[in-house]
Amino acid sequence: MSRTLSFARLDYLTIKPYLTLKSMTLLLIVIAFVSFGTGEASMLIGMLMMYGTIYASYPFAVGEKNGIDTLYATLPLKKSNIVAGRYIFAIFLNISTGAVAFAVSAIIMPVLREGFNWKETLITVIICLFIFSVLESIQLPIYFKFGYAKAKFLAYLPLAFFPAAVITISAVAGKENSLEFLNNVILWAGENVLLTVIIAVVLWMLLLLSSGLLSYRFYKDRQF
Amino acid sequence: MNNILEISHLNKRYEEFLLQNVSFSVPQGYIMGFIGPNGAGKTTTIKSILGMVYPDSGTVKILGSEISSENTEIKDDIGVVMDLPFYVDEWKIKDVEAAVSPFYSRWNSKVFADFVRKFGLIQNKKVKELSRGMKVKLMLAIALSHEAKLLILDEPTSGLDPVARDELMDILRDYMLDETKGILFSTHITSDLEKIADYITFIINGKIVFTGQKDKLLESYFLVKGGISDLNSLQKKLIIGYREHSAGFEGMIKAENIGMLPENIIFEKISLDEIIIYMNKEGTSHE
Repeated sequence: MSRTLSFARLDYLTIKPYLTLKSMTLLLIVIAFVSFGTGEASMLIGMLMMYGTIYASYPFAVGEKNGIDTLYATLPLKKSNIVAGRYIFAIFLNISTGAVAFAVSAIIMPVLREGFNWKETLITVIICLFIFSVLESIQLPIYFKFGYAKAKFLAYLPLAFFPAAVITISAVAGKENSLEFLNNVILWAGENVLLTVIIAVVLWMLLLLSSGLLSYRFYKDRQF
Repeated sequence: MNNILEISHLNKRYEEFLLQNVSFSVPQGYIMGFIGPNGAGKTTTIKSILGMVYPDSGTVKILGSEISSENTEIKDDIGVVMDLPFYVDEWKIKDVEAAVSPFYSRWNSKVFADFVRKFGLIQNKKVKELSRGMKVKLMLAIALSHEAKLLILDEPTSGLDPVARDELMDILRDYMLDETKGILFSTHITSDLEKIADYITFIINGKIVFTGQKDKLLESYFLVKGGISDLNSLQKKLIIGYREHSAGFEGMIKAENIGMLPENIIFEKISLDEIIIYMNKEGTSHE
């Protein structure tokens, strides 16, 4: 196993004590409750994947609390291994929560009034994966630059950025209703699944690559 | 004699502290004690060795290989023990092994299990549930389970009771039975070093004031006591950390200057602790 993959595994071990059955069950109950209340599959997927994004910041939070940068300094690890490993771990979390969201939707949605449409669900998962990847691509360099405690507030600003971006884009596109614009995008994506997937993957990879390079640039200069 | 660790002309400037031209080496087969008062630069030097801070200039070589942010392979040969553990406090001991073992090419699970047993550590206990002594033993078990050639110890005995400290000294003696290894041992508790160190590096205010054989250091200085009127002003200047009290004066003097003091002055053997105290007094009195 390469050192980068070993580091991604180390990140998993870092947050493992916090992934308890109790907290996961509680999370699923809350999500199921909200989903039944709204009858929206996208709500369930969005909430689950949002938790994935929150957990992606845990290695910074838990690590900082326990002085784990000293551990990294004692190991035969380059800073590039650390940055790449953390991105791999974040991607792994996103894909895992996406898969769980898809599976949970398949179980819960038939009970809801809208039923289960696998194609729409898959598109929603891909869109959520993309949105939360954009969020993490902004957050991770901030955490690498400042550390968790200092960056916590800054790192959550992108959450406010998304609604603003949707409104701005829809205004530019000449639409009065931003939700209508978003629905149109989803509809278009539903009619052009292959193209959507290709565009999303290319954009996703470019975004992660530039974010990773920025994180490395910040982290290589950090001293502890 | 080969050096396992060589530090040359290390400089690091902070706003309120300057590490100046720090150079010393640890020969293979020996224990180097690294001493100095709080804030003298011991931890900054150790952090420079580990690449946690970047020196402004100077080099750190381990087994002849210069350490840098891009050359970290040599850390396969280093074991580190700090005063506080750097593992997630919710980890169990088996999680600690799972976390660090993939990074070491010579990790030996059997050796680790033996140390865990020998040290009385319980695999299912969390790091946060361990006593301070047990935490140090856990770090030591990790450091000794991947055939590290150099041990770097930063205040590992602070907060340990005498029994735990004595156990640690025994473990270090066993480790040094292999003469290809070496230890850099930074501590405030100099009585530990008097027992096991072969060499001493002494740092004050970011500068190395002595590096060499421990016995040579202990033979280089004497504790000196006498009446206030026993010394003239020139003789007083020879006393390092000169201090007057109701019964007279006391201080430290270089062995080579003993002949310059009157015969009625009392000279006593000095300890490492006393050398630190008097050197520090002298250093701060000139600031």
